[in-house]
Amino acid sequence: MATKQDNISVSPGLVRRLLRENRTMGKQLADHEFKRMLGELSNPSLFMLELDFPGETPVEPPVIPSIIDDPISRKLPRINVNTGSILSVQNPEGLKPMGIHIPDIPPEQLRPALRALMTAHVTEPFARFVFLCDTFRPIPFLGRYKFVYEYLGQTPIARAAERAAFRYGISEVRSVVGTRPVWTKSE
Amino acid sequence: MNAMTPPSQRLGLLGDGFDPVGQLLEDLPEDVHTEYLTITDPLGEQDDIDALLVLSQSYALAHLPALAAMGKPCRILLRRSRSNTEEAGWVDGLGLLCDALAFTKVEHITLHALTEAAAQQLSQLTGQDVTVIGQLGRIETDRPTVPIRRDDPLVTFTYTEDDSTRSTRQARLDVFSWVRLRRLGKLFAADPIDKDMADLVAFAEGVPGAPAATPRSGPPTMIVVVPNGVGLGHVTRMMAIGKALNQKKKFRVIFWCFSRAAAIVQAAGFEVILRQTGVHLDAHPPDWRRWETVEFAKTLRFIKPDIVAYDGAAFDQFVLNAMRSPGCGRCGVLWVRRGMMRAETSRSVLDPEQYSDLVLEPGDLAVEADVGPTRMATAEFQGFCKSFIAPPITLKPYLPAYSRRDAMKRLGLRRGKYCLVSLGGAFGNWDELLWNIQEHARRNRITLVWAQSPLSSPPDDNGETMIRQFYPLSPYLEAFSGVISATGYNSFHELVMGYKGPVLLAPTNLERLDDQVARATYAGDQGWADVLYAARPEEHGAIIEDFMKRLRKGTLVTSRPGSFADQSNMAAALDRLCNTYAI
Repeated sequence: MATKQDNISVSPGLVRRLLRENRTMGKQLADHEFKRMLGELSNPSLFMLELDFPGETPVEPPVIPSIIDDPISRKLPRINVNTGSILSVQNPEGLKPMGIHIPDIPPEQLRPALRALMTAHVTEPFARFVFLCDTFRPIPFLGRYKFVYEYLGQTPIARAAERAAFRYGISEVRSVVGTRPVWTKSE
Repeated sequence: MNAMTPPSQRLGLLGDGFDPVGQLLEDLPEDVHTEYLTITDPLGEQDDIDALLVLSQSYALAHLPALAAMGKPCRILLRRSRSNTEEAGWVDGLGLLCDALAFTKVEHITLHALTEAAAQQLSQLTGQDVTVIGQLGRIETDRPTVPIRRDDPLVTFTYTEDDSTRSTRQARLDVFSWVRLRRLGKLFAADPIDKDMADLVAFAEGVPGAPAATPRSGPPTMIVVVPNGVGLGHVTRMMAIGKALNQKKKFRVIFWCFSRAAAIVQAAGFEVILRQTGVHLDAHPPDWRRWETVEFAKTLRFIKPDIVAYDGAAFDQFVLNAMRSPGCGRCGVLWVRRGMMRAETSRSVLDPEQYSDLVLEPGDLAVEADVGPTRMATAEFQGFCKSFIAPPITLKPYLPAYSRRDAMKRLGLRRGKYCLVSLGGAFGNWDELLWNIQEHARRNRITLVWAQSPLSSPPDDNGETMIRQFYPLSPYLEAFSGVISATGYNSFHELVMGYKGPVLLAPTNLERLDDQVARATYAGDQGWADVLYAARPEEHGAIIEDFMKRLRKGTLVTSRPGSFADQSNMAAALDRLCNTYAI
């Protein structure tokens, strides 16, 4: 049986202080993560996986019939989209989910493009990103910073974007290079 | 089958999601190219399907206006009563449905039953034409007799073990698709009052002379579910198993991969379907699980694998739910379960045995030191599960082995003595260990090469520390005069079985990992390696100094076990598993 001593007395002042500390620490941690990310993005060997399987031919994954053609897709719940560990905001739901297409481009093009996107993301947050990647190369990097990602492989961008619209609630996809829109949800 | 033919018919199913009838349909030869779609709004979703099957009269009554209004062929499966108390209501419901159907006067709705006996009785009762929905071919293999009761969540049966002894086994009924269940046991309905269960069991058992399920063709196919895990252990082990299978028999191995190591798996020649865990997404777990269930089921229906394999401690429910979805049941369940769990690990970790066909345990050279539950305990429910302990499985036998000269050249190493350091994530006083290693290497003029996961951030090139971030490590071992390593399954076996230089093991003391300390101690007792214990920091200096001296001298260790064993028996065990579901 619980006694009076077992009950933790929580004063509103304590709650406010904890919330304030949480916000401060969250911001500091996100700043630290962003600095770490910028360090990685300035490293020329980022996205250069050293894999040694001589004689093996990489195989593309099978293209599974998309969920978007199945009536069940309309009944599935939306999945949360993170802001990534580099950003701490009080109301992340206020940022709309947005698809970012990462095409198969050389690392020396990808690094500055991501740097520009991420800098904009932390200085003036405008969206929560769902990265749609043509290759597996950016996946470990995006995973380290807790971003949402999807691998496209042979799936056309429009099909992948339509699925992501059901799954994450995105309504547009922009390219990480030049930020031009590559898909917009039809009304 | 594995031939990915587009579906010739999209059949909507309206009824309970895991209704055994919905599961059993995939064994009907005429349904071999059918895609099953779960329907909840027949009218609103009629454009998504070619035909509809309503799995009971209750669902038909609830949706009758929509069924009458939709223009697609609609079969209603009439079910018989489950108990005496239900009988009166059941008759009323049936009468109500028939009256309503007569009133609607539609021709696209037909009535069906599961068996001839049920069809006859229902025809007499309703005065309507009721036909059998289909007939499954009888399965004639030798298998245990399994009584089934609706009111008993467990099935209990007598099982003949491999050594011909007989034991009583149990499993939860709701973890199986009936497509699997009918191949694993001869079913019989144990409650004579429950006519619906009798019909279900009779339908599942099949009819002599009826055409069998369409045989599978093409290469055997295995979908491997790998959890995120710590490091690359799960992925590496499953790639090794995939390589072993490919060497013996061309298996198609597809990874359902929660690990960020997808690029590695693809580079190794496997197909990868990349996923993210609910934890990574910070998603509401039931929402995430619902998506995984639906999309994994979609994949199972499309790929039609012979085996679904899981390497990890506990199956996520999405795997089981997907395998119980219509069109997804005809495949075996392989549980790849490493031994050497910690002694204090609960026996409940063995629970997945009850729904596995085969537990494949990658053999451990330190098995004599294994006091974990996989060695010392028995699962509460073992179901139909068999077990197979394979010789130690690692990736090394399937990779090239570079000569010392080639390996050094590829790693960019010049002449000299090098020690590879590949440590785990947790080890007592980490800073002191690193200092000791660096200091004694310096004194003995040994250059340290730090191995880092290719999944981690790239190293800063500060010119002082030599870091190599490559995968796999094992082809390069000849470049090193000695290795300091954690004691995970893969690195331990690759070093003990495929390397001749001195090895210093620093077992990780992370509680959720395997018992690396026991494994390392065993290797130390056998003279295969030296061991650093996190709990005995006072010994570290002397052990590391002695190890570095032996590297300097170029000492070789001759007491280790020989070469890697052939995996023919493992391939044969998996082949037998495929055969269970081939018919």
